[in-house]
Amino acid sequence: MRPALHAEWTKIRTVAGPLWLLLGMIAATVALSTGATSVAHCTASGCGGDTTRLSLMGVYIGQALVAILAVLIISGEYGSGMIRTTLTAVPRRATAFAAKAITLTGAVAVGGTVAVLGSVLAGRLVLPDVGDQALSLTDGPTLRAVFGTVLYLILIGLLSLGVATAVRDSATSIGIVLGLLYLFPILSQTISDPDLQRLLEKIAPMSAGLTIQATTDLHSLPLSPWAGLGVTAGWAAAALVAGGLLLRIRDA
Amino acid sequence: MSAPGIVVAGLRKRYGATLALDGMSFSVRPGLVTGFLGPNGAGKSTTMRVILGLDAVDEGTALIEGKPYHSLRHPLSHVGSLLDAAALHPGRSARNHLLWLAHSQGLAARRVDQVIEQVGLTSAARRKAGGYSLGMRQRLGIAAALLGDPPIIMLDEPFNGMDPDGIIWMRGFLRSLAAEGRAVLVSSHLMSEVQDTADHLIVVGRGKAIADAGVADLIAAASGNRVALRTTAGTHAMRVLAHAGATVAATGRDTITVSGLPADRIVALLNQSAVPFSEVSAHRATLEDVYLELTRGAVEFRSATPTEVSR
Amino acid sequence: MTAPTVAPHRPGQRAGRDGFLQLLHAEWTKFRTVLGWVTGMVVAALLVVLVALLTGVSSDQKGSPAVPTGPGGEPVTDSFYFVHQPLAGNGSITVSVSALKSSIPKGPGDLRPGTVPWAKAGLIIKDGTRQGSPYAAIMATGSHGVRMQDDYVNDTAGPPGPASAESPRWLRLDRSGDTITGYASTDGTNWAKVGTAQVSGLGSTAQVGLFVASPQAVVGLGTTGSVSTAAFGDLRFQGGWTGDEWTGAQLGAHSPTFAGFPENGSGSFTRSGGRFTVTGAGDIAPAVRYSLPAAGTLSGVLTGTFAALIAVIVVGALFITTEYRKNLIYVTLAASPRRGRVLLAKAIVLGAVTFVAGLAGAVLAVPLGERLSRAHGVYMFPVTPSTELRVALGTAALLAAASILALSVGAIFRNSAGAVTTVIVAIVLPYLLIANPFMPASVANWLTRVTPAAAFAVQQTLVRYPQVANPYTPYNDYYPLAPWAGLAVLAGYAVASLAVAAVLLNRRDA
Repeated sequence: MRPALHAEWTKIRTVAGPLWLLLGMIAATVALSTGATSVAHCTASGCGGDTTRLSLMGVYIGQALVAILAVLIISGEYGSGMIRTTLTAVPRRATAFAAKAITLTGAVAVGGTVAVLGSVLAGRLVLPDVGDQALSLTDGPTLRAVFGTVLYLILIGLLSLGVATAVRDSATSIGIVLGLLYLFPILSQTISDPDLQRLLEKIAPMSAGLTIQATTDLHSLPLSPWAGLGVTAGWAAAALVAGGLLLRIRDA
Repeated sequence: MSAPGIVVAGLRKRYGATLALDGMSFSVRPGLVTGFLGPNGAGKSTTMRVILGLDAVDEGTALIEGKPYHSLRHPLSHVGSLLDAAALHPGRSARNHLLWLAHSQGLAARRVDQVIEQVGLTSAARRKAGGYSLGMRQRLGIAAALLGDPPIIMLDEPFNGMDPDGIIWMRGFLRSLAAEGRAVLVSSHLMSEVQDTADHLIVVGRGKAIADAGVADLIAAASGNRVALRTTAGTHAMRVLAHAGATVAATGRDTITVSGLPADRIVALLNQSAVPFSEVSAHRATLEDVYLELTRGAVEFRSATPTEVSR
Repeated sequence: MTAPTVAPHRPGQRAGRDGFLQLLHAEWTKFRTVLGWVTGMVVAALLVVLVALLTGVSSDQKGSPAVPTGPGGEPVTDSFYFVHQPLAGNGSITVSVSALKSSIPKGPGDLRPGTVPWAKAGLIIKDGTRQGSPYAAIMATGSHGVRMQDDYVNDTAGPPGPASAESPRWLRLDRSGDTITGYASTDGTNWAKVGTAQVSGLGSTAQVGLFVASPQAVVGLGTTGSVSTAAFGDLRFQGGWTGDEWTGAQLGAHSPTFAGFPENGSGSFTRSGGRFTVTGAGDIAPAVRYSLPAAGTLSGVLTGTFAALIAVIVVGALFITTEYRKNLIYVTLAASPRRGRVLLAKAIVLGAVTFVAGLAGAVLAVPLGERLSRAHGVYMFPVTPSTELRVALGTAALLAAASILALSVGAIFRNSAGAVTTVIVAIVLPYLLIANPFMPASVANWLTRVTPAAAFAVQQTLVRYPQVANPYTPYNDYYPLAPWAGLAVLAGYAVASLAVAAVLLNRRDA
């Protein structure tokens, strides 16, 4: 396992793409978060909602870049045929796949932490007095939101890795991942049956997972924050299992 | 190590309606360059992918030193292989490509620089692989195969796209690898490429091995102890030799092919009967003849544009 | 030595005209022979239909009360406090409004004085108290001066300024057959005509009297109920009046377009001599999104457009990036060296295929979705056939423009994953953002003016009424741009990126 990990780490650091994607992810996340906090109509009594969630809104776009990174790690190899070299060097496919997943997790954890902390910092600077209370990392719910958002980004990366391993083509994989993330919330808006709407919010990888960012009004959420993140973890696990199984049984 | 080299036994694989492998069996021994010959689509690449554990078979086994590939702990120290020289990330340098491979086997970076020097890529090693010529990519692929200093080397069409200098270099290189006691398996669809390199040949057609023998034996078998005779008195010579029990045939304006008599006996008979002749030589079939003979009927595609069976 | 003469080779196959049509034909052949791309387009069309079916069957509003509709067929709010008596034949009525005060709840049961710009107090002549019946009215409003309105959708401005004890507004309504004329005065002696309305369907005996309406007030991005009280005086009338018996009631109290009184509010009227004090809630106006939150729209039925978008974006990007990955671009450019034309041919073929797929999806989805929704008791905002056609054609054009954008970005990036993500994020993310509760209307409007998401305007069917306060935000299906203008924004992005791609394709090595 260690050599396989070492190899994957060497792969990810010896091309420019992953680093630029991570930097782009950080920039886009912080930019959107800052934009959202600066346009929100905040008064002395608040911003009409959860300021923590508001200042972490950048993950809406950050997750898309994480998805590209994850997809390219595997479909790039399928595109060039290098997957055969990889599997010749590490013939145990579960090991090769796990090494990829762990390397991705590490990369997203580092990039995600910078992006999320940058967003919170921007939120504190932009929201003068209101934010101070809510955006302090010593505040339990805020810390949970910050930590949970990094975990959320990792889970989106793993979900994308699983989908890309199963689908192999990068464009189709990224389409499926972004569809899973973005379509559920839009669909649930147009469903008029409130029970079905709540169900959709409970099972959608993005809506459910981002409940981890909620710090106010917890009782009105369809799911508790950690249960919500658990749903996203379930999606990621299902995608990884599907991808891993297909990698095992298919000819490379 | 129970059985050195590669042992392939009874491989069978079907892709939909096409039978890609139909009882492929052979073995590759140390110290020899084994040519793996056959027309496009005969199953050479599929067999190699099966040996490397990339493709699964419906039946049969392929063992490396007695073990299946996927059970090898550091596989690149057992088999070095090159399947597709283009399978590179265009943005990664040759050195970094070899570096990740080395790390996957727990090898040090020092080894990477050694193999780069060995294949003569030192000056280009830190350039992005996307800008490499086909020949440079082949050399990089060879370097990757050598990385683990393996006793077995397996190369799929290594001469493809190489310039004449590269082909000469590759031939010498393969010979030296075999001389070091390694088992070397080289596939090709062109006879001339392996003519002067291989010691042993496995000829495949329609998914199975149709010949598995030493190069000298194969040529001898195809030559059939024939002797070529050049003379201006063809009719006279044929009468004399036929009388002595040989089978003769006129093959040209002043050439005759004789079989059934050794060359020294033919010279004695002609001298006895005072038949003038200018040349007597043992007829040697070329590998081309052998190959065409063997693969006749085993060729799947005889169209003007040969195509690889797509998967 | 003379060199042997060799006849130059002449191609056995005569090439056809070197025309753009050939290029189109070649690209079409390329497209239709890749199973994945054709499947992608079929999937896109199916997704539009499937989501329409899903939104139809997932709703259950059977047994909900009927939505009142006005004489023009549009849904209306017809809920106000009406103090009336019958008027037979022609006649006129005059009154002064000396106060119009509104209250808005700050919390449950906590009513505070506030401004409701479209609170109404005045005179109305109506064909009975049936919901949606024809009428004409003249009124003082919270902050829009005197207005004359009829049949829900028509609105004419009169003298500006609010009514107060120091500066009351005198109003007069005059019936002559189907012609109703409204007059206003600021001193009770000098009268100015505000407007004339032709109200067909008024019976020979109409109900005439005082009314007070108090629509929901827009607070931030939402609305809240309100209640208003007006003081009337100097009531005079001429013509066929039956007596001096006034009946008062809150009309349309159980209408689905009436949200009810705020807590601790109720309708009433008191009379002392010629002075009336009337309290009411609701509105007499066309229904908008907030008055019918559960009603269906065409854009809701066509939510599958988002799913189809992703499919066509993937196919659009792959249509060019596959050529780069497999070096097929060498073959393509060798066959037609004028690179810009190759790209244009690709764009036309892709756009046409996407348009056809999108149109097929929309044309099936719209009637199916509408029918299913209605079968499940959902009220659908009515649309004219021409609007329906515009939405279907617009949806197809939206998908086609998005696919061409993906093709162009794919040619610029030469990387499918990056191209697909960029285009999906550019079109879908703004839509997600405008749906966010934090997003101020100004930002939401800005986003739907300048980003490719502006194109969803082509699916809007709801009408903006200046005389009805409502959060007219893109999220509520009111886009800042007109339908085709919104689509033009996306088309502009597609054309601009196609131009950039053509320039780069010519400049860069293939």
